[in-house]
Amino acid sequence: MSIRKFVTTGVLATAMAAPLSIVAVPAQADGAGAFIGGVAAARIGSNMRARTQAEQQQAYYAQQQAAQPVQQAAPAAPAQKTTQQKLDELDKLAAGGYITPDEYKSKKQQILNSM
Amino acid sequence: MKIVHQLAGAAALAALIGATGASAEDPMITGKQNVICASQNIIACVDDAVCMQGKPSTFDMPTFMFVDVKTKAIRAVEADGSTVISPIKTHEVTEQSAIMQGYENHRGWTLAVDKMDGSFTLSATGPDINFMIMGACTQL
Repeated sequence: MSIRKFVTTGVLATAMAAPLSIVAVPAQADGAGAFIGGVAAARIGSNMRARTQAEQQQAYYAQQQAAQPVQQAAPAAPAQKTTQQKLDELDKLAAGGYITPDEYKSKKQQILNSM
Repeated sequence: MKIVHQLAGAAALAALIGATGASAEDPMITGKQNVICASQNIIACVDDAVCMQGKPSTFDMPTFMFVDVKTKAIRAVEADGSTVISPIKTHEVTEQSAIMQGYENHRGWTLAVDKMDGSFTLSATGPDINFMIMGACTQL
């Protein structure tokens, strides 16, 4: 084994052993809390409840926003005149002498074509 | 004479490999040695049937746990450096698995480590929360 390879292996072995030495503390150390049924259960539970609460709040706000009335709608466009209204108006114009018979005929045809 | 020496050397080498080399059939975990386990996935359900899945960091849980079969304890080190311990009440080694059980604070737990591939499942049940931790172990 070359010196370089030996040193690399040594460094790797030391790095891998380091976390193990941290974990390998004496069993039943004084004052140590319960792990699985204690800290783990409590922490998982509190994390879940906090997340569930946050999700419920988010859903509540989304629901509130959805329930708010829609912004004031744009003013409605003036109602379109019906064909009958247009023809009546045209008749009045013709009767009043405001348009010639030819204009009356042409406009009437235009109104009828638009139906 | 030289050939005899070479044959003897080859036979000795073969015997040595046979005695010390691990075959593919050998279990990765004996169940009687200490192991260190890395948690990979946690599934938990709380009292009102809400379930969640995540990595250990999702739940602020330590990733590694040290299973000391000699002193019958499972330990983990918290982010602040403090150690938490669960005593192992029963320890059984079957053909397939190493199974450990314990209970704390009205919560029971079972750790099953597959001897062949080192995968583990730790399940814990209690009145308010049930969770399962999955991951892999390696023998020390």
